[in-house]
Formats: sequence, structure tokens, C-alpha cells
Amino acid sequence: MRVLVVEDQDDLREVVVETLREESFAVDESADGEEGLYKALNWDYDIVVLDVMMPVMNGWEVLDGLRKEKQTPVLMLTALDQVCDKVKGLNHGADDYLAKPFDLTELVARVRAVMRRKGGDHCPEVTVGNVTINTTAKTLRLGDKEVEVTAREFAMAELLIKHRDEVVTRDFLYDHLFDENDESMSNMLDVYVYKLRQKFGKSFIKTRRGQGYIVESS
Amino acid sequence: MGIFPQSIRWRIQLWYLLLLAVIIAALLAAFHRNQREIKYQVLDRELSNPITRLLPNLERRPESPPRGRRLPRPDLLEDFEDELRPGLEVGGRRSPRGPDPLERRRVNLDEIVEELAENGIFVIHWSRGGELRFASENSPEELRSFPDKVSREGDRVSKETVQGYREIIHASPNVGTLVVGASVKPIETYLSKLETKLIGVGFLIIVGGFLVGWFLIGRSLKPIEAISGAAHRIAEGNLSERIKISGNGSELGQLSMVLNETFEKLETSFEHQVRFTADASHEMRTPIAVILSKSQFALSKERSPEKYQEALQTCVDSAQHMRTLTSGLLELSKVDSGEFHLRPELGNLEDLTGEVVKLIEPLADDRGIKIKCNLRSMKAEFDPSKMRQALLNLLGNAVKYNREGGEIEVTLNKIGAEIFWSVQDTGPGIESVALKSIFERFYQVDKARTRTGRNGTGLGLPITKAIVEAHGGAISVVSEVGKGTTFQVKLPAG
Repeated sequence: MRVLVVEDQDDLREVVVETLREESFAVDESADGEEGLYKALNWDYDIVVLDVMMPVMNGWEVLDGLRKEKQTPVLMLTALDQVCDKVKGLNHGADDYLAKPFDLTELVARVRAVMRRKGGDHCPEVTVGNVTINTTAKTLRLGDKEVEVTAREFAMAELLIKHRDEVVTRDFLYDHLFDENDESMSNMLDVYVYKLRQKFGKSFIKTRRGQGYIVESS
Repeated sequence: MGIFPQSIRWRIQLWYLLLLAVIIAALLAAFHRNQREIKYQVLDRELSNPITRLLPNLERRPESPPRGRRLPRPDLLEDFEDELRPGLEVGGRRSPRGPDPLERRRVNLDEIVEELAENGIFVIHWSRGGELRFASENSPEELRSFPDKVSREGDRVSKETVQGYREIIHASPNVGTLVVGASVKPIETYLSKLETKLIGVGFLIIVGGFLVGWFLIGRSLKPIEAISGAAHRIAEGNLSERIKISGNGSELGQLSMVLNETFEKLETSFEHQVRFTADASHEMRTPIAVILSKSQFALSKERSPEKYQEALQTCVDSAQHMRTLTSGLLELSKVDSGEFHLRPELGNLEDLTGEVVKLIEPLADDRGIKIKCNLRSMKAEFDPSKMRQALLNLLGNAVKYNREGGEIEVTLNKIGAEIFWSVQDTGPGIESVALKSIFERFYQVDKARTRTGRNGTGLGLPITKAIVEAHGGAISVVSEVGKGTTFQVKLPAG
């Protein structure tokens, strides 16, 4: 899952980015609205965490610019917590709203909730075949048995399960699993697919030659 | 308005009723008294009249006709003539008038008394010696004894009311003492009936007065109700509420106008306060968010010592920013509440400027900025610590918002009775739109520009302005985009 954090306050942006990375998100960052909008328009993020009070271009302008072209989920992050501001934010097309100062755990929970809703899942636990994923507890189970996975393996499984019954291209996987600074080679994808197949059985991830990968729910 | 005696309406009403009652009572009492007097006067006249008729019949007959005797009273002339005539007839010829005059007097007396008795008037007659000579049948027993207090000397008429009877007492040496009287009972009955009627009328007037007064007072108090209603709603928090003014000329209309103006000011200052508080809390949120999330992040799992150090450093930086912010807010709240006091002392502004320039030089050197001083000795009375703060703010801004390797020129000069003090930088300048708001609290021309210093609070210039104004001076700013900005402080000399 790839996230964009747009926040002008350096310390705050750093800590949000680091936290989300620790939650195995691929995170990009922007220190102002203009750059943020550029990135948001040029990459398919799973969610944008957007601050309102920013120099050059404020959060509302970024949101309006983004909504003209894309329906990327947006979580507004701001120091204003008047009801009218929240209403304004939601009316502008934001998916959720979080007032500063916030709890990091709440931020992560909301980011996950917004992404789940966009994916059509309302429950953090989804079962595909005999594999069950819990995005909140960050666990993968094969039958009743919990299987240990690395952060990247989990992220890949999460992405494939979210897009279950769809063919997921290697480019898509690459874009959503690695952030802009990640130098990982694309053949790293093969490694993760291999490891997941090892742990959950060969039939968990099927290869569509020339197209990509698919996880089938039945 | 509630019905309780504390209300103005009731108080006015009660005072008004009291006054009305006093006036009505006085008027009615006067009327009653007047009626009584008239009644007694009429009675007295009724009682006096028979006296003139009775006297001739009671007078002692003279032994010999006194010649040239003066008549005791002119109005008795006729009767005396009647009596004197026979005496005047020399030779004792009997009067052609009929029976013996003594006999005739007796008859006359009886007739008169009878007639009087029909009208409820009684007659009592005593001789000069106090011996009861005659008392009409209807005369009360208790009055038949001789009234001692009556003088027996000369002709005298007096009036008195004794034991429920009105008497006219006529005393004369000739006749003795004659009392003509009547019971005052009818008069008193009449008067007591009148009294009842008057009390009734008075009561009706007061009730009517109460109703009219209630209506009139209610009408005249209506604006007060409107005022108190509006004040109530304002007290409940609806600050945009105003009193509807009816009739600008009246005192209450004027009061409403004054109150509306007050409410206006109240609302403005309240809005100001609300905005200030909102701004202040907004400014506080960012550093709090940093501290909160950074520490949560650091504590969420085991981390390297470097990570902890970094987290702590960030928290310290944010806390310091908050400290700057709170001390600025505190200072401004002192300005707002009028507790911003100066401790002026005589000093030299040149020394102060030099001192501040020295303080700021290391910062300027870091960015390759040169500070040029154009100062002259300037003795003045000022608060050195506050003035240092003001100048430090201006010079700090000039360094922070200058370009790398730029220049700052500090000038101190005196023109006429004014000291001019200016700080000129070679920064990017400020657009005229932003220039208008530059002294507003929390206003920052561009937050991006503060990122290098990270301690822009948006409170420095408002505080500087407050300090300058507290010294009786003024601050102004001129800026040209691309060239630089000049802040000029004008202070009264001496």
C-alpha cells in the first residue's frame, strides 16, 4: 500500500512517514501543497494524508486539484477542528478528517479504515480460500494457524487480497509496494511471490503469463 | 415582568397609588368637612331665626315707658313698636289691637314653640336668676338645668354643641337666658351616610387609578422590557442581538442607543477574543502534535539510542517553540488587559542599538549578512528591556527574512521633535496585500519563509508595535518586492 504524506511541518511529517513505514506502508512525502499535488496526480496512491495549512498551496486547493482528475482517498490533517472546517473538508471530497494534535495509533487506524472502505471491505479480516488476513493485527493465517511473514510479504499479500479476483500487474505491485526512494529491483517481486507461495501453497497466487498475478477467492 | 414588589412597575404603581390615595383622601375629607360646616351653618340659621321671634314674647315688660329709649336691636324695631305703642298712649287707653298684651304674648309664644317643635327645635328659657321659666316639651331633660358657663352680663349670643344637641344660647339682662336648640342627629346621620358614599367614591377612584396607572406604567415601561429582553438574550450568548429602538427622543430611546453601541463594542471585542483564542490554540496545536506523535513514535517499540535522542531533540525544539509562543501570548494579553506597564529610565538609544546589533551579529554572520549602523547619540526616556525586545524583533526579522549575503542598515536619527529609528533589509520584500496585515497577530507573510528559522510565531511584530505604541510612538513599514523592507519607528523625543 502506497501512501503520500503532504505536511509542511518537518518534524511532524517525518514522524508520520516513519510511523506509516513501520506499519509496512510504502510512503512518499511532500513538504508543500504544490509538490504534493504533482505527486498525487502522477502516482496512484492508496491514500493521501493531507495537511490543510501549508505554504504555496493549501490543503483545500490540493484536494480540489486532485479531485478534478482522481478519486484517490484523502485523509485531511489539520489544526482546525471546528465543525464547519470538518464539514468543509468532507464536502470538498475528503474521505476522513483528523484534527491536530492526534494520536499516531488513531492516524494509522484511520488510514487503514479509509483504504478498507475504498477497497469495499468494511471488516479488517478477509478470508480468501484458506488464507485469512487481518490488516489491523497484521497477521496472516493458513487455516487456523498463524504464519509468520515479513513486512513486505504482508504488504504484497494485503495488496493481492485487496484486489482479489483481479489480475494485478507487476508495475502495479511495484508502484504500490515500494516508495519513491526505494531502490529495490523489480525482480524483488518474484522473491516475495515465491516466499508467499512457499508459505501458503502454490495455488494461493496464480501467475497469468504476460499479465501479472491473481489471487482467486474461490 | 413577574408580579413581585421588587419590580419597577409595582414600585411605581404603589407609590402612585399611595399619592393618589393621599390626594383623594384629603379632597374627600375637605369636602366632608365643608359639608359639615354648611349643615351646621344652616342649622344655626334655623335656630337663630326663632330667637328674634321669641325674644319679644319673653322680654320683661317695662314698668314705665322709657322715653327715647334706644332699641336694643334694630331688627326688633317692629315688635318693640308694637309693645311701646300702648305705653305711649297717654291716658291708659286700651289698645285697639285686641286682648291684653300679656295674654297675647303667651299665645304667641305657644304658637311659635309649637311651630318650632314641629321642626324638631326646642326652646328653654331661664330667668336672669337661673330659674327655669319655660321648656318646650321636646326639649331634652338633661339640658334643662341652667348652663352655668353662660355669662349673665349683657346681651350675648353663643353657640355650642352639647350632648348631641346644637344650641344657640341668648343671654340678656332683659330676657334672661334663652336656649334654642335641636338635635344634630339628622346632620350626623347625613354626614355619616355621606362619609360612606365618599369612601366608596374614593375607593372607586383608586381602583380606576390603579387600572389606568397599570396600563400607563406598563406602556411606558415597555421599552425597558425590550431592553431587558435583549440584554437577557445577549447574556445567554446571542451577541448579535440588539434592542429595537422606538422614539429616539425619549430617555429610553437614548438609553437603548447607548446600550446598542455598548453591545456592538462587546460583540466586536468578543469576536476579537474568540479569534485570538482560536488562533492561539491553532498555533499551539502544531508543536503539541509534533511532541505527541514524536514521543508516541519513539515509545511504540524498542529503538536505537540515536532515534531516542532525535525524538527528544524534536520534543525539546517544539517545547521551546511553544515557550516562545506562550511568552508572546502572555505579553499580548497584558497589552489587551492594560497591564502592559513600562519602567522608563533615561538612557541612550545609541547604546541600546549597538548592544542589540552585537547580539544579532553572530546570526547575521551565519547567513553572510552585513549590518551597517548609522547611529548618533540619542538621549531619551524609555524602558530598556522592552525597547531591546522591540529592536531585537525587528533586527531578528531583518536577518531571518534577508537573502543570503544581504545587508541590513540600522539608522537612528532625530528630525525636529521626533526620533526616527529604522531597520532596512535587502530581503525579497513583502507584497502590498500582505503588508496591510503584517502587524496582525499570528499573521505570517509566508510560512514557508520561516522554515529556516522554524521559530516564527506571528507574534513578534504585534508585540513590537505594542511596545512602540506604549512609548507614545508609531511603527510603519515600507516594502518593495525584490528590493527589501524597511521598518521605521517614530518616537517622541524628550
